Order: sequence, then C-alpha cells, then structure tokens
Amino acid sequence: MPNCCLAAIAATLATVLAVAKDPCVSGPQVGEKPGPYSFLVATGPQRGQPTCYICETADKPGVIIFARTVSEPLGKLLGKCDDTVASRPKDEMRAWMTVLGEKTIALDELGKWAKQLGLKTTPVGVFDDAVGPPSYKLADDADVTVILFVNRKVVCNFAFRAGELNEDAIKRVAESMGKMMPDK
Amino acid sequence: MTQRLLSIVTLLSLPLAATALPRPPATRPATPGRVPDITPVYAPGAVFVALDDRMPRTKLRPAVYVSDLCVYRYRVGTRSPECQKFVDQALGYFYSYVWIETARSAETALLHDPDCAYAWLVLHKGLERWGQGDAIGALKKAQELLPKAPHREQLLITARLHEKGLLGGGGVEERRKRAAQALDEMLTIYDDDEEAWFARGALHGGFQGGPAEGVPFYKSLLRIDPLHPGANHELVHFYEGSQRPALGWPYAVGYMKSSPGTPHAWHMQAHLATRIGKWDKTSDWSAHAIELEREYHRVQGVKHHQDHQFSHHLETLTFSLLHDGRFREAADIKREAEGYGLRFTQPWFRLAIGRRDWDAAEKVVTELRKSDKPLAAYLAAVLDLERGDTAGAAAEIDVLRQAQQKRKDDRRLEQRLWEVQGRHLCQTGSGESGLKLLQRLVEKTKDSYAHHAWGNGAVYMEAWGIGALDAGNAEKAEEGFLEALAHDAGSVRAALGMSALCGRVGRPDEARKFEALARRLWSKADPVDFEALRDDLIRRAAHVPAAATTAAGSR
Repeated sequence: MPNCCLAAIAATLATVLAVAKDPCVSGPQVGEKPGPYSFLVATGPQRGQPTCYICETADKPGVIIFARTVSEPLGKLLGKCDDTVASRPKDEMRAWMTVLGEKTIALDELGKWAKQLGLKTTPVGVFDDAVGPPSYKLADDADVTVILFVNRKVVCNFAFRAGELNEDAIKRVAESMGKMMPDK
Repeated sequence: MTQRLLSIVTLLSLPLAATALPRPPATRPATPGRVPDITPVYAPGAVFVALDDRMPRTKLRPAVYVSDLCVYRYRVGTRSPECQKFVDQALGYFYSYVWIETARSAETALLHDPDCAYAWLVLHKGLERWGQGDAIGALKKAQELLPKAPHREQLLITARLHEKGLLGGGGVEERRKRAAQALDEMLTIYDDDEEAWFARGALHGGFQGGPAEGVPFYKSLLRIDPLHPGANHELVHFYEGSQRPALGWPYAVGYMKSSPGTPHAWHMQAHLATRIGKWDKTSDWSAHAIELEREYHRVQGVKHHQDHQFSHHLETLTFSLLHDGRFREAADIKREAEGYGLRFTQPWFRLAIGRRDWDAAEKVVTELRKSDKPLAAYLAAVLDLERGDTAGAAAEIDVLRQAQQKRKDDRRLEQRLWEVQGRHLCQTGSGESGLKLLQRLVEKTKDSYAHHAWGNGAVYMEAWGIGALDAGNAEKAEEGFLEALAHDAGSVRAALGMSALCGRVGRPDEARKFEALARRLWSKADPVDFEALRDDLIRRAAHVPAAATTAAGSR
C-alpha cells in the first residue's frame, strides 16, 4: 500500500476519533430558558393527559430527561432522579422523562417499564415527534439529553450519544441534581 | 278500454312476478330502485306492494351485505348462513351507532330465518335507538322464541326483558339490577361471551362511553376479543370524556381495525387525535370516513338526512383540513355540504380567512347578522383585523361589547371580545394593554379541556403571538408562539410566527428550523396558501423595533 494511502487512512481515523471525543451538544444551554412543551404522560396522576410540566414547575428546580431509546442505564438515571426528588420536601423539585418519537415505545409499554423501575415521583411519557419540542434544538445524535433548570433558567446540561450514558455519567448527573436548590 | 285494462294487468303482473322469484344472493345492486319516501295515500294497495320491496317492520328495503364492514362475528342460533351474515352486519352497525342499518340488517336476517330469536333482539335494539317502528313488539317476538333459542341467547334475551320491564314491574334501577343479575349469572357460565360482557358494561348507562363502572366490562371483553367494535368504540368515548385522551388512542386504532368498512370508526379517532396532536394521520382518516359514508349511502340507498352521523363527520373533517391548511379539499367538502343544505358557519368563515377570500368571509358575516348578531360582529371584527381595517374592527368591537354587557355570564362571548379587543389594541398603538388582555385570555382558557377540543387549544396563543408581532414586542411574541406549540404541536401559525420572529431578530438557524417545521405541518397544503401565511407573518414581524431586535436576539 502506498504511503500516501496509509497517511490518508491515519488522517481519517484521527478525525473520526477527534469528532467522537467532542462532547455531544443538545438542548438549551446554561443560562437559556427551557420553553414550554406538552407531551403525553404515561405514569402518575396526569397519565393519559397532554401535560406541560415546565409550566407546572414554574420557578422551582426541575430536571428534564429526553431519551431517544429506552435502556437499562436510562432506568438507572431515572432512579437517581427519583431518589433526588423524593429526598426533597414535597413539590420543592420536579423531574420527568420524555421519550422522543411515538414509534420508539407505546405509552402503555412505557408505563409498564417505569413501573418495573419502581419510580415513585418521576413521571414519564412520549413526545410524538422524534425531533423533539422545536425550541429545544435537541441533537439528532443525542440519545439522552438531561437539562437541569432553576427559576426558568438552565443551570446544567448533559448530552450523551448512544452508549455514553455509563456509571460515571450517571454519577455526574446525580451530583449536579443533588446540588440544585430552589432560588430564594 | 280493453287496451287500458291490459296495460294495467301487465303493469301489475311484472313486479309481482319479480317478487315471487327467490331473492338473489345479497350483493350490491347495480342501481338501487327508487323507493318513495312516504307511501302515497292515493296509491292502490296492490300496486304499492308490487312496486316496493320494503320490509314490514322497518319500512326499509332489505340490506345489502357489505363484506368488509366489520370483523365482528357472533354465532347465533340459526341454520341459515344468510341470516347469520345479516345478524353479524346488524351488530357491526349497532356497535357503531348506525341505528337505521342495525334495524334494516336485523330485519333482513329475519327474512332468511324468522325464528332466529337473536335477530329479533337485535332488531328490537336497533328500532329502539333509531326511534322508529315497534321496538317492544320485536322484543316480545324474541321472548316468544325463547324456548327455541340456544341457552346463551335465552339468558341475553331474559336480561333485556328484565331491563325493559317485560318480566315484572319495578323502577328502572330495580329492573336494571335484575338484568345485571341475569348477565352476571350468564358470565359465570359463559365467560367467553362477547355479547354478555358488552351488555353488562352498557347496563351502567351505555353508549358514548357511559360512566366508569362500565369500563371494566369493556376491558374484560377486549381480553377475549381485542377487536370487539363496541368495546373499542365505547372506550374511545370514555377516555375522551374522562379527560385522558391519550389513553383512548389504542382503542381508536383498535376500533378502526375492527370496523374497516364503517365510516364512524374512521371518524372517531379524530375525537382524540385532534386533542393529542396526531395531525399527521387524522385528516386522512376522517376523509376516509367520508369516502366510506358516500359509498354506504349509495349501496344501501340512504339519503344524507337519514344518516344522523354524516353532518358531524363532515364538520369534523372540515376542522381537520383547515388545521392542516388543506383549503382546497375543505372547499370541496363545503360545496358538498352546501348541496345537502348543511351549514358550518364558523369553519367556513375560517376557510375564507385562510384563503384570504374576504368576499366569502363577508358573505358568511352578512348571512349571520340575521340570526346571531354578536357572533356576526365577532367574525366581522376578525375579518377586519385580518385585512388591516382597524376602524371597521372598532365598530364591530363596540357591538360585541354592548352584547357582552347584556350577557355577562356568557364566557364564550367574553373570550371573543377579549380576543378581538386585544388584537385591535395591538394594531392601534396600545400594544401593552392589548397584550395584557390577550395573555389574560390565554391564562383563562389554557387549561380548559372543552376549549382544546378539535385542535382549538392554541388559537388564543396564536392570537397573542400575532398580536405581539403587530405590537412589535418580540419577547411576548416568542412567549405566545412557544405556548401555542406547547399546546398544539401542529400549530403552523406558531411555527411560522417563530420563523418570522427569529428571522427578524437575527437568529437565522432557528428561523429555518421553524419554517421547516411549518412546511412539514402543512405538507399537504396548497403552496400558495402557505406562502401567503408566511408572508403575512413576516410583514407583521417587521413591526419589531431595532431595540427589541437586540434584546430578543441575545436570549
């Protein structure tokens, strides 16, 4: 193989690796406002209702998880969310998960999955359009996007491509959630 | 004289000979014979009988069998395959509330086997709901045939006899209790019986979903038969009524699968789809309902006014088409409906506004002024605001304000007044007051379940956003349009409003994304209509001043 071909392959590989190492960017960034959006809720008191939790959360701390697939690590992340919300006084904080795309999972199936996780306070549901709420600018390659906000401003944003949501990532998100306090 | 006599005899004998022959297998007739709407009182009886094959109980011509009407089959006590076919067809119609056809098909079944007790029971139910003929007489006939009927049918008929008080008196509740006992007993013996499960659920109030007490029975029935048309249909209504429309969606889909040839099944999904944003499907499905309905009218020889569901189906389709910008198809439906003498005032006004056909909108208003002055004033104000005639709008708003003073409890009127008043203020230099009024209107209605019916949930938010563009307030415009998209993910006005705003305030990437979304939402709209709406919103966005441009651009 000529040297020039080897060099080209090496350059391509280097580019691919560099791109792969770039952090995934998805959703509103720190300081931006998470816009209102409704989705179809599969669990909890709003089951079966189109609901805008952004509106209901108002100025309190909130955690939104957008997911393109339903997976075991996602379940663990939801468990951490649920624990965080449960550890706070009632209604002081809210967390929820929105699956993107009506074809990803049916509402009832999602409800059963959430039940298996033993979630207590974190509702889950489906946003029909796989693109996501238009004002959120969710990246196509972001399998999971986590947005933490207080007083209607994003304070932390995490985005993970498929396979990137590992134990370390879950721990980092959980730590950030633990530090969220109401803006007094 | 002899010649005249001969011609009369010939006239009489031909149809008589025809009816003496066995009826051919029920297939779709090439052209249904003309049947007089009413029996002419001057017609000699013999002539009438000979010319008319109407059945004695329903006074309808026998049903035509439609093989793909409904997948539901319930085996009844008959040896006649034709009777069985028409009982199944009658039940298919019954579970879709097509009462006239329930009765017609049941009576047709009886032409093939007059001793089929269950066919008499279904005839009774059809006549009762249709409000024609002797429903109780049919039930009594079923009662007479009880000893010859299969055990299951005996129990089902007995339950109905209790309910109708034919096995002893008592109040409604007492009779219903005895019917429930009979059905419970039946279900202990025949727990796979679809008719028993449905009848038990329907006893709690039945039809249009009924109360929650009936739901466990319908759900149990679906465990036995996931494509039971009645259970699926009832659960669609129930979940719409119980304000959890997303839970009804699987049943809406199940109902269509159960009844592929039934117009109402294709219509019912719209009750939920327009609430939960399934806009990519609902209009086409509602249009299919109308295609099936036209075919039904042709095949069974039914006139549009005999089909109590038709007007509602047409109006629902119109709402959907308007939402999706499919104005040309909506105009076709309008022409068809006008041909039937139907009037859908507000949807047709919206159609005219959508097409910027001010003359047509004016015509609707002029007609309405004779019967409903406040509504006419509201629509006239909307028309004036759309075409930028603020002086004309002010006059109409005055009329509306006076009407509202006389009807202070009329919330709808109040909302209409606030909408046009708010928009008018935004267009005439009092943007702050106008936007406050529009925001208040949004706050008052955003959680109203009734307001969100038929995809209406975002209209005031759209008005708020458009008012903010007119007033040059970028922040409120964004708030209004995003709220609109939150309440109706298919709101093209909000998507195009956001696109126009983002374009104006120097956020071109977002402007492109919102425009792409709008194009997707109106992918079946006429491009001319899309461009007209886009240009209108861009024109309004030009009111956003340079100072606001900087502020909104830095979000």
